[in-house]
This record gives sequence, structure tokens and C-alpha cells, in this order.
Amino acid sequence: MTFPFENNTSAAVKNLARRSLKARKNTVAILAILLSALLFTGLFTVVINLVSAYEQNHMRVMGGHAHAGLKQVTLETYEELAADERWAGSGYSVFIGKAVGSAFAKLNTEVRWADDFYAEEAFCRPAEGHMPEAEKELATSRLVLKALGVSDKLGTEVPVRIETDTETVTGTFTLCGVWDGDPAAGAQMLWLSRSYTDQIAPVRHGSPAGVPVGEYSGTVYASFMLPSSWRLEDRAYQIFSDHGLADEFHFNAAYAMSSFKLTDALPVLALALLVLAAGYLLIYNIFYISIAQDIRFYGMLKTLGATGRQLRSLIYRKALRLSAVGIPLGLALGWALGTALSPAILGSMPISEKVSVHSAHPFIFLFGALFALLTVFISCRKPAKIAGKVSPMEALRYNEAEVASKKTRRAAKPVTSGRLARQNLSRSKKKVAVVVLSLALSLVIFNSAASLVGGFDFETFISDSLVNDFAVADAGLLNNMARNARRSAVDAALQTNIAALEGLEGMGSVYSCFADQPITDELAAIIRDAGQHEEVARSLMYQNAVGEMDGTEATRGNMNYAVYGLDDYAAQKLTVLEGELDWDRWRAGEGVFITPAVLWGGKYCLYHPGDMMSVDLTEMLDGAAYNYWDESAARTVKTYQVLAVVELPSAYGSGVSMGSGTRIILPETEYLHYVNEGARLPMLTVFDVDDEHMAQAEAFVKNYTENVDPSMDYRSRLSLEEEYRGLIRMFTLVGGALCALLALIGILNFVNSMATSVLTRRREIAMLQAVGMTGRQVRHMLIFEGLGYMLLGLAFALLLSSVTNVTVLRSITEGMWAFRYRFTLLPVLLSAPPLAAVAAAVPLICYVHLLRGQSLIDRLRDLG
Amino acid sequence: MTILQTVDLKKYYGKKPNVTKALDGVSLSVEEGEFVAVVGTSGSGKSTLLHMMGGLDTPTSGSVLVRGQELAKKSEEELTIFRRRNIGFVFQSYNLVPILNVLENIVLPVELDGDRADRAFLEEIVGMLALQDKLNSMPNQLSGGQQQRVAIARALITKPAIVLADEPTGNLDSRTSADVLGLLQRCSRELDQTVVMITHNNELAQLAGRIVRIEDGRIVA
Repeated sequence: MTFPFENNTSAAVKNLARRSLKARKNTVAILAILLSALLFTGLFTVVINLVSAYEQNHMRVMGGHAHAGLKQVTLETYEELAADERWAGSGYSVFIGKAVGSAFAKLNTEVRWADDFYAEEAFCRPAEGHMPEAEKELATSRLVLKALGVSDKLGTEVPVRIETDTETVTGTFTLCGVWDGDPAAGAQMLWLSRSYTDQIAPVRHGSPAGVPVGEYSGTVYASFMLPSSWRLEDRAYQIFSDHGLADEFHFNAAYAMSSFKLTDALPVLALALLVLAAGYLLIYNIFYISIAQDIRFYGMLKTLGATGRQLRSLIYRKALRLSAVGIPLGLALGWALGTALSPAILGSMPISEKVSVHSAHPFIFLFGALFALLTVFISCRKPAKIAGKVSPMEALRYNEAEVASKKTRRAAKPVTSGRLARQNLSRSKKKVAVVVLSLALSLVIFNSAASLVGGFDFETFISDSLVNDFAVADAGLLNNMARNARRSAVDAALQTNIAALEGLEGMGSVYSCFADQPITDELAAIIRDAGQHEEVARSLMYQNAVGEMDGTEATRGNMNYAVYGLDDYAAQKLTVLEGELDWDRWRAGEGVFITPAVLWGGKYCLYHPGDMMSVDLTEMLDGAAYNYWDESAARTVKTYQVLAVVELPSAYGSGVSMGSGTRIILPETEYLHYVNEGARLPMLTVFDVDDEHMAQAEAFVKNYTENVDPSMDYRSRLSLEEEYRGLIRMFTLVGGALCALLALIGILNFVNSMATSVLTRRREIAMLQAVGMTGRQVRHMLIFEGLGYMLLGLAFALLLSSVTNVTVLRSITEGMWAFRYRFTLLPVLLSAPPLAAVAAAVPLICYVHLLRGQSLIDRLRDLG
Repeated sequence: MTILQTVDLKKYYGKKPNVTKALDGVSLSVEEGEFVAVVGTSGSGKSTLLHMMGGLDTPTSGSVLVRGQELAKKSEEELTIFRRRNIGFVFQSYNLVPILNVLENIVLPVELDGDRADRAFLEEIVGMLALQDKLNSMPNQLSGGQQQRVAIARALITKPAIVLADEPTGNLDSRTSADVLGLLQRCSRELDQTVVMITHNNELAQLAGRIVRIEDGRIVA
């Protein structure tokens, strides 16, 4: 075989490469290559697992893996778009209505007809049986059947009540297909036949504008797939807008991860570069030393007529042969390590436990091998060049010394082991530099990882999600699915149970709903004023609001406020930003507290204490979207005085913000006075328990949310502490593994340098002994050399760590919540003693193994 | 026919006023098939002369012509290729490749050229140097005399324009020295091979067809 770096490779070069590898022990070089491959593969395994876990999780929540979708359109609109040749596939469903009845109170179930493609991409294709064909056939998930309390045997008669836009239909259908169903999905699907669909919800026809807002039955929902997921969003959007449907564009956000943006890839790239650097330092040093040692051999070959090119290809061939052993091993071990670490990393992410990943994607190995090879080749470049350039004359004299000191020695100083050691180190500065860098690199990473773990703060960590001992709410709210969560959730039974808990110190309620505001002239003026602030004007949500502002009060759009109701216990956790908490006026319903407009740059406030604020409560009262264009409709508007600008703990947030992000905080009585019947339950019930009864209360909510009402979930100090410890474990594990491997590289580099330096100086050391240096002095000299490496490494690590501490680390911790930045070099200092021990032990071992046992004369004659 | 020629060859080391003149104007011609011994004391410049003739070192001034081609005008890479085709070296310290066996060592220069050794010629040389039984041995299993015979075979295998031998018997006892040199002389005669040998031993030099004496960087006789 001839490699790209060769042209006239002769049999001789191949033979020489093979033989010269056999002649030596290559354990260290193979280990180095193995380590590089291992680090790369481990890194890629974890990354690919993470990406696919995120994708899976998103798709399950989104309810489909199609790239793009249409919602609530007519059949013609779908057909026109689907005819575009750029799609790889498309399918649609016709919405009929919702399944209703007590069985579906907690299981959101939609009734539709769908084609195979649509059912497939929604993960709702029958695993057993088939899609409905005959008029009264039905296919659905086992979750739905279980809720209905009927068997999942095909042929079972299933009674269903369906609520369309206009009527409620009851029918009994024959089960023709089932699948398991996914509890994390936003809605369960119940498929009916096309002929039945045409009877109760005939498909809509006409132009895109043919479906009025608020009408669903008979509308078409469609899914589209592109041939590849590269630049998905842009390409799909292009097709939609080519057909004049830009406004109807829905993109599956699950793919946002796979259409990798550069910023997402940066940390991976940084880590890959780090691995490359560590691998480079080690492999380079090993090859450099090996070539320096064998330089006479290469010089001799040159004398005999080997060209520079042949010598270079000899080195590359050796590297390739070593890689052939090291890389496959590294790939296997790296994959094993990555797979072992992945669950720990995934476990700390907000990902459903049902997602399981152990990817063995070919890319992992392809890129692992490619990057490892790249590292090897980059590392060999310089050594190969040195070997290729060797002049036959130099080779006859060469000994590792690079710098011929031009300094003249002023006065003879006494020769001590320490001074000899220092001079030995300065003999090959390049080698020392590489070893020192390699050691420093692992120390800097260690320092950074350790200070990250140490800076992770429990109180900050929980403050975002919990400010009481316990919080109960809809499971969706507490599990990153706030959009689908019920915001009126904690029923009387649960509240009574909590109130009866032993050791209860206090209990509070948080209510939340939305109140859509028509943009009145008053509000329009406020929006316009806000635009004078640069950070407001820059925010996307502000620009949206401005878009709604054209025309008069009658033609303008709307803006949403979130309305919160807090009882006295929960209200204690409000913090004042501006004004005073005038509890009496607040409780009397005369005034409100508001939060800053968090979506408009975050700090700006629409109103200030003392301002009067009119709030349109119509939507809140009706519980349905408010129709602004209907001027005859009655509106309920109340004017409050703004008493204070406050901060609402994010643990009390509904997880959904709209409009400017301003929240209006009402007292419980006022809130309940205006809110509609369907939304009178608290979104969140929080309570505190004394330490003694903590575990007991924990057991109660755990049992309640698991067995009594699984649609509810809870957060507690205890469970968050558990989660916190899990995170710390994850950081320790991953950081520890990385540091251990980098430290191994650093130490390997050191061992290799030390051992070869002793080996090449055997004769020189013998000579020193011949003129009277004792074994003890030799040992001291070598130990001093080892300590020299370590001291330089530590000094360099301290310097670099200080720099990374105030630059990289500070910006990381500022960007991440729950981390507190602090400057520390303690980890580096703590690793000094063990490193010193290694520094002393390695030269001693070298001395015993390489120098003892042979007589002085043997060693002096050595190398003839 | 003149196969090797040096014209006013000079090699100076260092800067004024501390210039060391290793070679100071050496002009020498070697005819095809000649066996020349260059004799001089240690430090006389004879090794430098040999390195110049082999293109291993570059002169301060003057030129070296091998088969009419001037070495100084070649690039490093061209020079290497020219050397492996035209010059065979025999060193005092044998310089065999320790990881290759005897046969592989002998054919190495041919194979580095991407060629295969001429079988008949290889057998002729191996026979002449009595290495038939040692072809599969490794260098460290051989005596000094045997190693030097391998080195001579390696120098001859490319049928070079000239074989340069640098104190080829320097590490050998006197009896072996006579044997090895006898063989070198025989090869030179039978293969019509031009040989330039460097030695400080006058007695051994007598075996050569012509003796050139060098002293302080100049030819004295």
C-alpha cells in the first residue's frame, strides 16, 4: 500500500518501519495514541447521546418527529403545499374533536382521522392491528383504553363520547388497532375512519383563510419531512413562504438541536481542542524523544542513500502502525467510558426518564478515529521533519543537546547534584517545555473543574425552583412542560390533606391565569414610552408588541398580562424593588403589586408606584379568549393603583410568560372574585413543615402524587437535595474522569522523558561515577531533575489557572445559574505533594531499573 | 578516465583570527579502477577530505566532481540520490543497521532506490567476501571483521563510481585488518572498482595502488 504522503515507497522503507518498531518497546507510544482515541471517542459518545436524548425527549413532548407542520387549514391548502417536490414526504389528519367524559379528565385525547404517514410520524401507528378502514372502526393507545377501562383485544367494542365544535356525538366503535402510547405526549390520539369523519366533521375546503379562528372540527393538520435535516428550519420555511404560507409555518423544535448552531458546538469544539492539545503534547514528545535517540540511525540511513522523504515516510509509517494498535483499543474503551458516563450526565438534565440512549452511531467511531489520527499526524510532523533533515555529518556527532551555550562561565562554582540537574534540564529546553505544558494542562483543568464543583451553591440551586419546604402542582408544571400544565390544579381534597399534616408550620396558595389586554390609547402610550429605552427596544417581544400597535383602539391587537393571586402566606416571599408593600390597601383590592417587564429586556417597568393602571379582566372572568373586534361585547375593566414593583420568586412562576412579561399580583380574595369557575383552584400549594416531620410529609406527598393522583407532582427540599447531590456527582464524575486521563497523559509524558533521558545518558552518568560521583549523588541529581519538571509544571499551572480563573471561569459561572464565582488555586496547591512524590519516585525507579546491575565498564563501553 | 576530481578544495572552520584550515587547496584526481590510499596523521584533514568527496560535507570553496558532476551544485535531496547510486561508504565503526539482517543490510541501498539487487552480482560479492553462511544473521551476532565485510558488500552492491573507505580497519586487530583489506583489494581488482581509502597506517597503505599523503590540509606527496 502506498499512502498519500509517499510516492516512491520502496519495500525497504516498509521493512525498516516494521523492524524498527519490533526492535523497541512501544508501550508508551501505543498508550499515548490509545489515550487520545479514548478521549475523543468518549467525548463524541457523550455528545451524540446527549443530542439524541434531547431530540427524543422533544419529539415525545411535541408529539411527532416530522420536520414541519401545518395546523387548522383546509384540504386545498395542504394539497398545494404537499405537491411541492422539495418534500421527501407528507401526510395529514382531519381533526374531529376531543374525547370527553370522566375517563379523559386527566388524559387529553384528540379524535381524528389520519393517513399512515401522519400516524407514523406522530408515534401513533398501531403496533397491533391496522388503522381504521370500515366506518365504525377505531384505533387508539393502550393508555386511552386503560382510562376507559376496556380491554386492548382487537375487536373489543369501545364506547366514546366525542365533542366537536358544534355537537357532542356518542358512538360505539370496534377496536381495530392498538399501540402502547406515551404518557409524556401532549395529547393521546384516537383514530376513526374517513367515512365516519366525513359524517360528523366533514373536511374543510377552500382558501387558506377559509378556516375562522377558534374552529377546529374538519380542519387539516399536516406533517412534512425534508430529505435531510441539514439547515432544516430555513429550508422548510422557504418552501412554506414560496407558497404564500409563511404565516402558517410550524417547525418541530426538537430539531433545533440537530441543526447545530456554531454556539452549540463551541463547548464540544473547545473540549476536542483540549484533547487534541493534550494528545499532541504527549505523542509529540514521545516521537521527538524517540527520534532524538535514534538520530544516528537516521543519519546512517541518510548516508546510505535514504532521502528526506523516505525518512519522513518511515516515521509516518511507524506512527500508522502504532495507531493501528492504539486507535481500535482507544475507540472501544472510549465508547465504553462514554456510554458509562452518559446516564449520569443525562440524569442531571431535564429529560424524561423514558428516554434511553446508548448510541453506537458510526460517526462516533469515524470521528474518534479521524481525530485521533489527526492528532498523531500533527504530532509526528515536526519529529518527521527532524528525521528527514538530519545531515549525515551531524548524525555522527549528535547527542540530544540542542543549545550550545554561548555564555562563558564567569567563575567556577562548586559542582553539586542540584546544579548538574539544572544544567541537564536546560540542555533540552524543548522537551522540558512540552512536559511542563502537558502537566500544567491537566492541573489547570483540574483546578477549573474543582472550582466549578466547589462554586455550585445549593441555596441558589433551589431558590429558583423552591422557596418553601414543599410545593405541589400539576406534574407538567414541575416537569418542564408548563405549556400543557393545568394552572388550576390543587383540589380541595389535597389541600385538606396538607392542612392536616403534622408539624405544619404554614401553607400558602399561588393562583395564576392570563388576562388579554386590548391595546388602549393609554397602553399604547406606555408601550411607545418604553421604546425609548435601548434594552427594551432591542428585545424581540417588544418589537412584537409594536407590531400590534397600528391604527386605532378598535383595530389594534392585544397584549397579555399574567395575573397571579397570592394568599398572605405566599405573599411573604415577595421582595420589593420599588415602593412599599402596603398590605392593607392590597388586601382591600385597591391596589396591586406588579413585576418588571421580564420579556422586555428584564428590568424595565411599565408602571411605577403611585401610577394608576387599568386592567381588562374580561378574559379572566370568561375563561375564554376575548374577541376584541366585537365592540358590543361587555368588557370588565378595573383600575388599580400600583403599590409596589416586586419580584415574584421564580418558584412561584407559571413557567409561561407572554406580552411584556409583566405580572399583576392580586390578593387571593380579589383574584377569586374575578376568576371564572373553571380556574378557581391554586396552581401551586406551598407549605413548610418543621424538621421533625419533614420525612413524614415527604412520604405523604410522594405517595399522594404517585398513587392517589398521579397527575400531580411535588418538589421538596429533600428531593432537591437529592437532585443536587446527583448533579455534584455528575460534575465530579465527568470532571474527575477528564482530569484523571489528562493527569495520566501528563505523568506518562514525564515518565517517558525521565526514562529516556536516563537511558541516553547512561554513558555520561557512568563517566561521572568513574570520576567519583557516588550512586547517592547520581540519585539526588536525578531526583532534582524530576522535581525541576514538577516545579516548573506547578508554577506554570498556577499562572495559567490564575488567568483562566479570572477569564474563562468567571464568564462561565456568570452565565450559569446556581454557580458562585470564587477565585481559587487550592486544587493546584493540593496536587503539589502527590506530584512531588511522583517526581521523586520516577527517577529513582529509572535509576534502579536502567543503571544498576551493570558494571561501570560495561556502561562506559556501551554504544561503542 | 578520471572518475573523481577535487579542484582546489578548501574547508575552513571558525572566524578570523582563529581560522582552522582543515583543507587548504586540495586538488586530486582518481582514475577509474584505481585503489588510492590517503595517508595522514590524526587531524591532518584526511577525514574531512573523504567527507567532501562523498558529498557528506560542503566545502568552503573549490569543487568536487564525481563522474563529471559537481556535487556542490546539487540540492540536498538530489545529492542523497546521487550518493546512493554513485558512492559506497565503508566506515570505521561499520554502521550496519542493527534491526536488519546481513542480507537486508547489503541490499538496503539498492532497495532504498526502489530497485532490486542483481541476483548474480549479489552472489558474486557475497562469495568474494565469504558471507554465504551469515546472510540471515543479525549484525550483533557477527565479529568485527565479519561486520566490516558486510559493510564492504553493502558499499559494492550498487556498483558505485567510487567506494570511500574511512579507516576501515580502525577497529580491527592487525590480522583481521590484513584479511579485510586483502578482500577490499581483491574486489577492487576483480570488479574494476575504484576505491579511495583513508588510513593512518603506512603499512596497510602499501596494499594500495597509489598513496597520497596529506598534512595540515595539503597534499604533500
